[in-house]
Amino acid sequence: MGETFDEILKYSPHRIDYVELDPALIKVASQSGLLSPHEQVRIIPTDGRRYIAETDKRYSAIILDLSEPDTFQINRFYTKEFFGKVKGILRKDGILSFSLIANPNYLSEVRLKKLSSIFNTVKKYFDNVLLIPGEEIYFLASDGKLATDIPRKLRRRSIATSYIDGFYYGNVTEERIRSINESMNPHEPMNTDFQPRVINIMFAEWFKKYGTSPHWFIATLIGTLVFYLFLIKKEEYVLFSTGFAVMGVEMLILFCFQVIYGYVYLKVGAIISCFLLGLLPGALLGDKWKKRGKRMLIKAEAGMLLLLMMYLIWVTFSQSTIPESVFFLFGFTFSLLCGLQFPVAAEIIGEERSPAAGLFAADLVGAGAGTLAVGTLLIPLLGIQAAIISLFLIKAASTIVILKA
Amino acid sequence: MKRYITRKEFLKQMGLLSLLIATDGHCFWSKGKKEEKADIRGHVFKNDAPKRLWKWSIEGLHYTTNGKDVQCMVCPNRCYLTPGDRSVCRSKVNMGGKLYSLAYGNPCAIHTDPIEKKPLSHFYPATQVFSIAAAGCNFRCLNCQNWEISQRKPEEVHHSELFPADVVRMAKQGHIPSIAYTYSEPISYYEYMYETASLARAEGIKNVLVSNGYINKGPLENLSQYLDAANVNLKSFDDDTYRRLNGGRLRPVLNTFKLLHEKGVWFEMTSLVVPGYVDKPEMIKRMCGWILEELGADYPLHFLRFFPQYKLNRLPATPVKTLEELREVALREGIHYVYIGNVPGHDAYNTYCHNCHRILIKRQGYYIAKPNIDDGRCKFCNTPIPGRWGD
Ligand code: SF4
Repeated sequence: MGETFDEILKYSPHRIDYVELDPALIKVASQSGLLSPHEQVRIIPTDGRRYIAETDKRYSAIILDLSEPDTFQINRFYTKEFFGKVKGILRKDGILSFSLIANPNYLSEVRLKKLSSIFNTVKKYFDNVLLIPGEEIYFLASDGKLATDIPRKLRRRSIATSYIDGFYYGNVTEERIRSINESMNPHEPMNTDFQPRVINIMFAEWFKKYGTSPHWFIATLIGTLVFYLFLIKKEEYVLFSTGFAVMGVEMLILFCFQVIYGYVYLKVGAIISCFLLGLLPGALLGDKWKKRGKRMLIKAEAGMLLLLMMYLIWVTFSQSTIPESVFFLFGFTFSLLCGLQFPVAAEIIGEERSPAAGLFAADLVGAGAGTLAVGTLLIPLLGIQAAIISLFLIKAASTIVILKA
Repeated sequence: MKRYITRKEFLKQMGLLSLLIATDGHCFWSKGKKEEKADIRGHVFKNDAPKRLWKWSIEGLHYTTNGKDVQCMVCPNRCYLTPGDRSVCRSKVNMGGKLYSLAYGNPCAIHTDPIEKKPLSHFYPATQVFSIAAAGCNFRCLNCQNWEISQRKPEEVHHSELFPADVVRMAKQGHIPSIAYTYSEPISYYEYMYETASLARAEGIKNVLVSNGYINKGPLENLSQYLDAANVNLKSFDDDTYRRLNGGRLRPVLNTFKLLHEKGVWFEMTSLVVPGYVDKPEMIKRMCGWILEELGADYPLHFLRFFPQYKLNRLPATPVKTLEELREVALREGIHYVYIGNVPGHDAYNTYCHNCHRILIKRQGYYIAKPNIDDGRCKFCNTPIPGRWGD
């Protein structure tokens, strides 16, 4: 952190704004002397994405100093939505720079996909994007001209650096620059907030690295679920699908919350509480209205489908930053509908056909399966939209089951 | 009428639930077998050979056969392959009772590097080296920087076509004085390297081996007739660490150093200082003791800074202080030339005369001032400086 400032200060900028989400990190860095106070440096303790969306300042250069985009929290700084906003606060011919890990000697298929996806995403907003293959791959993006001979530029300005002065010409040869820039695949899909192509690729890389594959996990999960569904009663499927959907939605809310706000850990408790809180009034209402029978059940089903539809529309067309409270309210309402269904379904099915334990088990197995499937497979491998559509289909199937019953 | 759940129904539900949990949990936890953690040496891949040989195949050197099974004798893994098997290094297969290499003329990396990058600090400084690699490796290092080519089969990487004569021609056309076999593990593409090296020697081009040194005596003896220099890893000085971190053994590597010394091939030694594995001063002390006794004080030793890589991506980078401390230990023990790598701007990139301690070669990265070496001797005190310095 301190080293980054030292390097930037060599260019004598008027001001450096350092945006850091984690206040604890700023505190530790200041205490341990890594962040020596400097009149040009202003520390802004907030989420970088939010800052970029709200600031009215304009910058000549924006540097992303982040780890690899292998989580939703980091991926949100490498998406179409983010780069668009970055472009908006850059001065004319301003420059964006960031780096990604790749082997300087060989570009594997997976890394090529990752770099190409991000390249195409940045390219949407900038006339020129240049990749410099050093120990990592450095991306430079600007509407102005970009030069590859960086040591020469630095010499002209009498800026001395240990790495560029000494190692650039040996590591970053013309041949290496040409080869990496020419190898970018223009057909690789862009990386977006809710279609996180890069996260899928990072997953693939992880599996390659450890010589394993998620196929066994997927096959076992599907296999055991099919086996279970085969054994349960039709009516129990309704509660299975409700458990599945409610936990699936909970996972989706957690992921989306992180994408929008950049943090989630402090709010995990609040989000989960909203889901749990919804169950109680839902159950009370359900108990009150259980005599209304099938009609009530269908209404609850329709409510869930409607909520899922709204979610899908927001993710697909809007993605606007919505207040935190909307996420909480959404979770509360969804679980209220779930809570409502339980006594009504139990009443309709009757103790005779399916004892409470059977219904409860169906709900729990559904919840477990929903968490596993949505959290570890659907979102990371297929994206947020596909996950919502899957939940919609699962719920639609249960509506059909009720209608036919 | 109220009906309670029966014991049978309860057991059925619980059984189903446990089945679900157990089977899915199994997917997460089944992999971590205990002995794998202790020793990560590779295994032969049974029935993993391709159906047919491809254009970039050649019959292996140094192997035995009983007409059906074959045994490769190139490295201490001594892979015993029944028909259709693939070797530990992934680049050799048994096809019809013969051993074939699938890594011949198909380099997956081709670059021109400064010789200092190998690293070689006492071998024609400031020259270029034409560097090639084909897929495969006989080790399994947890920290491999090049795992995308070293831990892959030749068929799994994208590659160019450059047969031995083409490699030599390209180096010649570019006026590049030497060729390095590097990046992955050249011992796994021994045949390709051997043939290229012999052609290069005939054309007056030098050959540089960058390797883990895990090779048997016979193949190394044959190869060393064409070798001009080598940078060989001495990854630690502890057999247990070799097994746990690299998937190999220490003894054969030490034998490689002895043989290169005997054959008069110039070499430099490299230790990547992996925190928690290779950072004990006591071990470095023992290592230096062995070097001094068996090889003498003149071969340079490089301590490289580790950065999080491959499966060790959660370890921190080596503290520069640790590297400096180990360098001190090695110098104190009596090694004449000890360098630090991967720390741009560090003074230990420079070459200091082991006698008068003045700067012989000042290096700012790959930018190298004119060496204070005349005729292989220190300009200041006339001490002969070990290495290959040219005219
Ligand atoms: S070189 Fe490859 S095939 Fe030969 S013994 Fe070693 S690992 Fe086995």
